[in-house]
Amino acid sequence: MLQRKVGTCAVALAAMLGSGAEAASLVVTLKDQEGAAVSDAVVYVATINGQQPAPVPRQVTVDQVDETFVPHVRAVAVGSSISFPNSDHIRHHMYSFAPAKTFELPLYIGLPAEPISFDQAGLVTLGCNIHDHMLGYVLVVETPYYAEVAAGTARLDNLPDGELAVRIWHPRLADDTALEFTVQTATSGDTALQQQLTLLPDRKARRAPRRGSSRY
Amino acid sequence: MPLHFQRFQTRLLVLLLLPLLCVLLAVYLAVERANTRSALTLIERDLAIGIANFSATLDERNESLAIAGDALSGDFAFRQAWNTDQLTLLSAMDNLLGRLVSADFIAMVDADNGLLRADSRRSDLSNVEPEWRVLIDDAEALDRAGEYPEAADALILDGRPYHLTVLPLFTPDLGGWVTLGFELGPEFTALFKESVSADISVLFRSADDRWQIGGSTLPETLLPQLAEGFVPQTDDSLLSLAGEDYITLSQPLSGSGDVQVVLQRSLTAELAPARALRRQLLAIFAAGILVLVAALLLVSRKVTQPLQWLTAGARRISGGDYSARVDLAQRDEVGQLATAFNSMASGLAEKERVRELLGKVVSPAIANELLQRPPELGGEEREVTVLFTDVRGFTTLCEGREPQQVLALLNEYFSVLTSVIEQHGGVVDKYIGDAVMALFGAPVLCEDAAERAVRAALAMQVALEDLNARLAERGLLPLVTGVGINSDRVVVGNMGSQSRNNYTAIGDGVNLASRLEGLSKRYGVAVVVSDSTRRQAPDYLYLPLDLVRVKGKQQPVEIFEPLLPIGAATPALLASVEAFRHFLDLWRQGHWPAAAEALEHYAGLAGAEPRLDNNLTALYRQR
Repeated sequence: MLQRKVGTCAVALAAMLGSGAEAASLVVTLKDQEGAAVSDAVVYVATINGQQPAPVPRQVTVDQVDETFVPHVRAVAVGSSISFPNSDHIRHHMYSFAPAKTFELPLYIGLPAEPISFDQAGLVTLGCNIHDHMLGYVLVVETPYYAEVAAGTARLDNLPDGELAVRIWHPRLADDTALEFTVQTATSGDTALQQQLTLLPDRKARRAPRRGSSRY
Repeated sequence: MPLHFQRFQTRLLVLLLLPLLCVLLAVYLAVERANTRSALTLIERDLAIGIANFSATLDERNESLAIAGDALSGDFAFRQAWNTDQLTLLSAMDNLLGRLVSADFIAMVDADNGLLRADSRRSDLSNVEPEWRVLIDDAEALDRAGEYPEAADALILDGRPYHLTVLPLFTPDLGGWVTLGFELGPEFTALFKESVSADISVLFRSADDRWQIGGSTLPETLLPQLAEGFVPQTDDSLLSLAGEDYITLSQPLSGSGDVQVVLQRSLTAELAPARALRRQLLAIFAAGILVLVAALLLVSRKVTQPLQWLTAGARRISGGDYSARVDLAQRDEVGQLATAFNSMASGLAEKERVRELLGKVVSPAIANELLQRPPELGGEEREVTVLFTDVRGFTTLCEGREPQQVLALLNEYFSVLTSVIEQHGGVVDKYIGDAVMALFGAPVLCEDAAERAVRAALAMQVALEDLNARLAERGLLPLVTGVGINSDRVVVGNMGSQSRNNYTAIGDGVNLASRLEGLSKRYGVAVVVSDSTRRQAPDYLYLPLDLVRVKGKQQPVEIFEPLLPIGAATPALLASVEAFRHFLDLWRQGHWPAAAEALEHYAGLAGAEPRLDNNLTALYRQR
């Protein structure tokens, strides 16, 4: 990972330590370069005071509805397993060539036999073999503290105190790396983190441009 | 600009041929120009079409490759191969290349680290060459902008020109680049041999900045010259290959301009039919000019030759030969001129006859005078010497002779007298029966009119002596002539009516001259002159005769007989004349006795002088 300078935070509040009964929370607000709320991002705490917290595996789903992966971005902790139901009326052939998890679910409909476990951290890009436009992401993180950002905000609760290394990831980040921040949490109450991301435009066309036009 | 031509022919030739030559030259040049222009236009159009054709074919091929590449990038099996080992991938690529007829090579470029992962045919390629990298970067930039990431261009790969297309490989996100390409070489240019009516070549600039041939439809022998002479330009240009001129149009195929497509058509070949036309034109023009020259010469001859004849005729006429005539067969203007010339010559001949006749009827001097000025009635007053002659006793002579004889005799006599008169510058005014009236000093002025008249009178006597001698030989009686001369102011001019008049003198002076002539018999002398005449002709010895009273004059007029030029007089003669003068003086003064004595004295002297053979003595004795 490239070391980046710390991004300018709009506000940084001092952490307030509680007596242990109230854990810290982090509220992250993300906007893009045009001020619009960001979706499809993942926020996670990589280390706390330099230590990597132990991930908590879960079982989640990523559905296929109307030839679209729902949700577009799914975050899971290492060791989790994901079920990939196909709610469409047609079959899909799901696949991934990601080093973190290479798998394929040949043409199927409804619920596959078993969920897939994700034992390695990293980015897994999902595609459908017969539908070029279908694209989904699974970010496998090594921390229990993660959240998917929808409508521009995400909330991380039950955070321990201390210095948190917060990372933000988005599939269309302009320079293709996760943003890193160091945040001091307050003992009680919320710590807010507002960030502006520079995002690349969405791929408009997964198809080749209409050919046959003259190019004189 | 005045041009002087000696001959009508030359003028005709020059003035007609020169403009004609100019026109022909202009036509020739115009045709030449039009031909070249049309050839150029044709070629330029063809070349433009050819370039368009080439570009279209290139695009089509590119298109078909892109479509194949698109299919590839969605191919699951290929995606899987991409994810496995290099050897498998290479084999899969080989398979694909076998399917693609229009691609010469296929390569895969890793999206992450940009290294060439596999190359099917050219395994010596280990690096993505810079221009290729530029293509990939271009495609990447498109992806970041949200557009479909692909790029294509012509570039030089390993020293040869290629057309490369870079396409994305989605796995399912952008995982790498498929590069498909075909060589812009002889096989490619050969495609155009039939379809484009021009020669196509692909040229590329090598590392040492010289142009090389990628492929060409031109004959092999011309290729080095093309590579040598090629310069990329935006418009049609002229390039010479093996002596022929080629119109050349080039267009860059790569963004850098290092790969160019060049279309060429031979202008020389295109102009070949025009050359044939040019030769024909020249032949026709030459023939036309020759024909025209021949025709001109023919026509001008018809004009110049008759004109020369007419000129010769005119010269003859001006030299006095009025018989000159020119006969021409032609009826055109020149013929009409000849006809007019002939009638003019006839007219001149006629006039000449009239003039001659006039000169005979009146003296040539009067004839000239009359011809010079239109004969108007009227005249002028002038000092003129009038001379009258008459034959004494003519009627007696006429008796017993036939009229014809008389006329002949008279004409002979007149010829002699007229000749003498004209020799002395006099002019015969008219013949009155047997008398002759002559004028000295009119119509032509002369200063010594009187002197001429006196001389003429004396010469007449001599001439008449000869005539009389001749007549005597023929048995005819001699003609004795009396002459009277007077000098006075008279009126001379044309007298008569409008239609009929003659030039003569009128006045008292004329009458006196006539009277004097009549007196010659009385005094027995041949010539009687008046005092005024004597005064104007002083170089003669005059014998005073008498003092006569004349009608119309108050003073009596003294009359004399001219004897001979003073220089020729002998002293004896002079003395005799002097004696008579002396007598007259005495007589006029009234000294009768002395006068009588003087008269006798004179008579004595006169008897010895043949010139003084007159009646004076007897006459005065009677008085």
